[in-house]
Amino acid sequence: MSDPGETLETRYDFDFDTLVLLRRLVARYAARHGLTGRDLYRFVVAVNEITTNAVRHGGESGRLSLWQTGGRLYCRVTDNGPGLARPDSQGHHAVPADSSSGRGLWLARQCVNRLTIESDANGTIVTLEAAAPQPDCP
Amino acid sequence: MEVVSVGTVTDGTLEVVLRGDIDFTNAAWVRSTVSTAVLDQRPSMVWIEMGEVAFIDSSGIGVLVDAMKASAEVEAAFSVRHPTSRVFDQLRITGLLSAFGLA
Repeated sequence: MSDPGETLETRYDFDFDTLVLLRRLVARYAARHGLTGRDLYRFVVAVNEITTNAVRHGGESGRLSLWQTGGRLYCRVTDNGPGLARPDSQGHHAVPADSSSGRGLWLARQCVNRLTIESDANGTIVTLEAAAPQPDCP
Repeated sequence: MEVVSVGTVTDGTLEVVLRGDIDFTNAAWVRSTVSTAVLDQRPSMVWIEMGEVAFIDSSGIGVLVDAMKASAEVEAAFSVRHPTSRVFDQLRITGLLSAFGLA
């Protein structure tokens, strides 16, 4: 059994039909684990971009895990899509104002403290990390 | 309440009201509703009222950009109005404040 205060992990499988529900569950989890206000909103924005990418480009579904450790909140999104070429080079610049798309990864990167992507022909794993101050901690 | 309502042109201005969550799951519908209204009604100004939008993602932001482009096509001025501070923060991150008349 895992230690409840520390790293209790929550997992959800998702697809197009559960994207909105998943977003609400992520918001609830993050709020319960110390995120508030703008930080909470930004975390949800970032996770939602990654889950949406999994549905759009990663084989139409994915799995999301949430856990907390060391004053940080983590979210990992895994899909079984065809993978992403040069993942580390993507989403580092804002697209021009008149571009209709291409903002998702940029927005996600700006909205969390850290975002890492591992990708190969079997799928993509994106891990997001946000500082989650614990009110109980000294 | 629908996530999008389109008014009729009053004094040259077309007001579009967005509400709730604008995301990938409804972006195609919102995009076609807004862009069609702008191109059909040919106003001289388009206002996108955002005060009741609780959440928007990059797909929803793309809808706003397409509304801006449809407005330019009919030579209408375009502005996004009353975004919440959180949505404003997202539009700042994506570099759209001045394009949307918010800077």
